[in-house]
Amino acid sequence: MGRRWWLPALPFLLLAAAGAGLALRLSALPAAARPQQGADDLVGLLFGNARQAVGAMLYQRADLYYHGGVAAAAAEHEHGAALTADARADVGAAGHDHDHDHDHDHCHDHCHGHGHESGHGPVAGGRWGWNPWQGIQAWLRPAAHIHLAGKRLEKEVLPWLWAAAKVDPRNPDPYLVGAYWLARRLQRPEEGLQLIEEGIRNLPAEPELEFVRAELLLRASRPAVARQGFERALAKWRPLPASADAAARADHGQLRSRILLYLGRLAADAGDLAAARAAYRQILAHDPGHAGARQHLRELDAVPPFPASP
Amino acid sequence: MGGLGQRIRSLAWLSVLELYRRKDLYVALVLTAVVLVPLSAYNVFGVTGVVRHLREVSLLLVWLFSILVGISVAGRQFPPELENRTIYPLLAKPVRRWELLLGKFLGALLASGSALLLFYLGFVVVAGLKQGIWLDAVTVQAFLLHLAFLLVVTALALLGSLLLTPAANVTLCGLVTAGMLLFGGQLAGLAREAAFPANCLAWLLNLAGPHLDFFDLRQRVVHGWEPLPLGVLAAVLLYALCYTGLLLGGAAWLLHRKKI
Repeated sequence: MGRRWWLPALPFLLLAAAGAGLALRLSALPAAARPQQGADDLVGLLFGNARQAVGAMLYQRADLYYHGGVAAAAAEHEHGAALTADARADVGAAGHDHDHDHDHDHCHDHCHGHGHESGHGPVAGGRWGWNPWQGIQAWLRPAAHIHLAGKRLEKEVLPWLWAAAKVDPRNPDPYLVGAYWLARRLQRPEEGLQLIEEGIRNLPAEPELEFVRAELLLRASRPAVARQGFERALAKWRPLPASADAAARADHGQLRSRILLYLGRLAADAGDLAAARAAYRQILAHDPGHAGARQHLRELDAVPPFPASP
Repeated sequence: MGGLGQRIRSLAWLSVLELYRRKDLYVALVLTAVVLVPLSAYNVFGVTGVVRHLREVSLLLVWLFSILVGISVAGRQFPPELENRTIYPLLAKPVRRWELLLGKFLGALLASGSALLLFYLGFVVVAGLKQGIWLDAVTVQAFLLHLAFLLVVTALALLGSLLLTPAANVTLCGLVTAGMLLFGGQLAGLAREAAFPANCLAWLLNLAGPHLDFFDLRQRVVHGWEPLPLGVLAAVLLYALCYTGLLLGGAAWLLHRKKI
């Protein structure tokens, strides 16, 4: 009996050896043949396919913060989140700054107010008799439509954009909007550039990221590198399929026009008038009514030559 | 009268000691620190002075742990006494049932209230270190309303502990608390829009359910909105007192009828 001390341990040893052998075989299988594919990172491991939904939620949180925590205000904007609308309007303005006012009162320094109308008292409307708590609930939850304004407050949206980009790196919006806030609103162009470059690494086929990077480079007075960026953006640009939403297709078409506008102006600045004309004609080939392209072409055709861009 | 106060004080003090003996609170505090310390140390994109997300996460943890502590402390007041039969010698002494209930209620409230004070102190320190603003009026109001929230939840869990098994009580109280906190403000809308009989149920819940959403001032604290008008604050506190009285009345009636 004493000589067979190892007998009780034998089944365990055999099982351990079989398990190790199987694990080695399974780990050697190609990814497609495995029962479940592993995640690229910790976030993927935690959320799996839900990371897109979580990322969208975090991105919406940034919009909520922009409105001082009031969700209803964000819903009033027509084209999705106001944060995106503001950012897109600005980054896509071909070098021209837009007014951000939207005819709303912005929240300067500290946010005050309760109702939409006067900033005091409960929100009007609804059936009073139906809900006895309506008055108190309106007082408890601020509902005024405000936007954060000033560097001290505007930076509060950043953690959510950062988190949204980390959780769902396949969504271009957090990179685009984050770069806009960093570079344009908070005067941190280097950080904005770093974020947009991270977006390009994760979404190499996305032309808008390349376009925004080129815009930031142009603003940093690096026109030669910016021109290369615009050329890359144009190379990445592909028309959306006919099944896509009409507004999305129009926006996407405008992106191409904006890229070409920049390319035309940069070529003209560099003295390459033929390339500038070619860029503007490409715009007109797709959009014959494009007033900006027509104007620039007229300026190029005029003598003395095209004035330098501001 | 002095004897009555002494008896209730003794009962209450036992509940406070119980909380700190069980060490649940320390686990909550350590967990909070584990989440908040790295979060407050990290500057997103190198930008300093960003505080609102930190305030939001801190307050979320404060609410989460205060609910856990509040329900578990109040829900534990009666079941062990009944199970271990220690309630018999307690009632054999000159302690009336309503005194026992009041002592247990005050003890549970003191215990979870003291835990809440610790949590808020932690919150004020974290927010103060990051932002430089240590205490403002809206945070004081948020603490007061949170305490009022614990008043209602403690009474609810005490009442539940006399009706249900401990596990069922904790589960049900957790569901009611989370449900009313998250959806209490939307019940009126649901009553307007839903079809029969969901609209009736929503209307009844809106009318008679404990509106725990009244006590949540996180939006004001996180986003720096101005404090509540004092009249509104007083109305919400009065609501908490009325609802607590109602729940404690029910608990007293149940305890009085209980065959012990």
